[in-house]
Amino acid sequence: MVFFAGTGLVVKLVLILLIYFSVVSWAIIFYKLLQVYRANKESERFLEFFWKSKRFDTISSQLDRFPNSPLSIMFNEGYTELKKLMETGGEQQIDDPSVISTEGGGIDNISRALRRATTSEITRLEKYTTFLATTGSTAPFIGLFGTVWGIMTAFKGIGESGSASLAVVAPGIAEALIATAIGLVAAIPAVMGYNHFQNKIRVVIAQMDNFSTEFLNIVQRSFGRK
Amino acid sequence: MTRRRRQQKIRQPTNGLGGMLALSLAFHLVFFFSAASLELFRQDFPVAPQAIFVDMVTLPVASPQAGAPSGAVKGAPVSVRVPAPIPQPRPAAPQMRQPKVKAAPMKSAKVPPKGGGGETPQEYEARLEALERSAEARRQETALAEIRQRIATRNREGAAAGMPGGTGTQAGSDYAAYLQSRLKESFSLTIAWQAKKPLVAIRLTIDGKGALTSYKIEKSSGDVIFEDAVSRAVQLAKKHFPPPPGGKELSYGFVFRPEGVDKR
Repeated sequence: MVFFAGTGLVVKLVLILLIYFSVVSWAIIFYKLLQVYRANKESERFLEFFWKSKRFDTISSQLDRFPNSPLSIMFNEGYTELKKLMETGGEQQIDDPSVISTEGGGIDNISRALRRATTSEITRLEKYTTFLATTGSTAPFIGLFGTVWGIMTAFKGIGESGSASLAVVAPGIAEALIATAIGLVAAIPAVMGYNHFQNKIRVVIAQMDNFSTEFLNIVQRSFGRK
Repeated sequence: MTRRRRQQKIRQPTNGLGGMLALSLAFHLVFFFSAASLELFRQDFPVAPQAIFVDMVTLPVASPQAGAPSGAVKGAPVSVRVPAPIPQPRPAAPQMRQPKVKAAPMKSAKVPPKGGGGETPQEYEARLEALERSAEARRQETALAEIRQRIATRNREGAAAGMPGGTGTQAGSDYAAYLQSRLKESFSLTIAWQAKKPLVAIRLTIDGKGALTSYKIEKSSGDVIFEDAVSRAVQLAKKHFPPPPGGKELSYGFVFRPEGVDKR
């Protein structure tokens, strides 16, 4: 920590800020890695279980097995809306209570519920990633500010001492450059993590869209009035 | 049951961001401690500007085997400042030389402005030579007087002129620089290393009689061969350590690198 002790107050504050950015960025990276890994893994398992099962109520009873899958959340939302429509169909149910009307907005209700669940899951998955983007874009500039300030201070000291030898100039500049180095150390993993998670989240969104379409198709085929 | 409750019912609590913050903090601490132990942020030892000890003049040695002039401290080379040349007196004005160049046949009546009316060119040249001889004699006398004075001072203080019993004003009178020179000489004989950038920082304590009382390695890059080379260099050099000025115990730090030895 010798390099830290030798810097001025402003450079110290810059370094503390950058270390804070780095710590929080890595915390988010670890958190998101775990979250996205679990979401993908459990979604695969849920889809496998979904296509093997014949009945929605059987699937609904087993949703506790997939707590981190966005698809299970979507299914739960869609199935709950479907049950509501079937229970409160009233006048729309003419012959068979298990049949829902596509004219009265039944399918649209389920579609809206699925869209709402999709939006909610995307928001959950993208939570905190904006901090990574902010760190990636601002940390190098904050570090550069620390460096510029440090070099300004170093040159001021050189001017006061009246000596411009390398032994006098180099340590001040080296201390100042540490701010840029720490800024880059904070920014590089943040940018890499942000891009990685954006890519993974895009895949999960595509999975949710596909599942939503499939769910609506199944509902239309099985419960829709002709 | 609201939608949020239903979602919470399905979703079991996972490790929150707080746990990950603790993990990240631990990760950073491990990184910084590893960096410190691996010396990624190594700070080179601040070294003093190097003072090169140069033996300007070595006085004649009575016995070459003895290696030092009589009366001097053993092993201590004696430094004597070479006297600065005395400015030559200007023997004559430029116009005084003109008659010499233009030779005798010229009319000499116009030439000597100062030498009197009847001075011939031969007389003028004789006077010029006398002036030059007397100036040279004065210069030699002054130089000899200075050397005599220095020798007298040395004898009075019981130490060699310049190093290390000097007053501190002569060239090379820095005791630490003298030790550095001796260490550098010895180190050139023992140097060996295997690491990429070996470095050993030591502290030597020398008592009032010039004996090495303490040798401590304060910092090392971990190269055992280099450490051994430094240790052997110190053992070789300590034979030539003279008593410190004032007879007081002194302690100095030195940094050994393959490039040489620096004072700290």
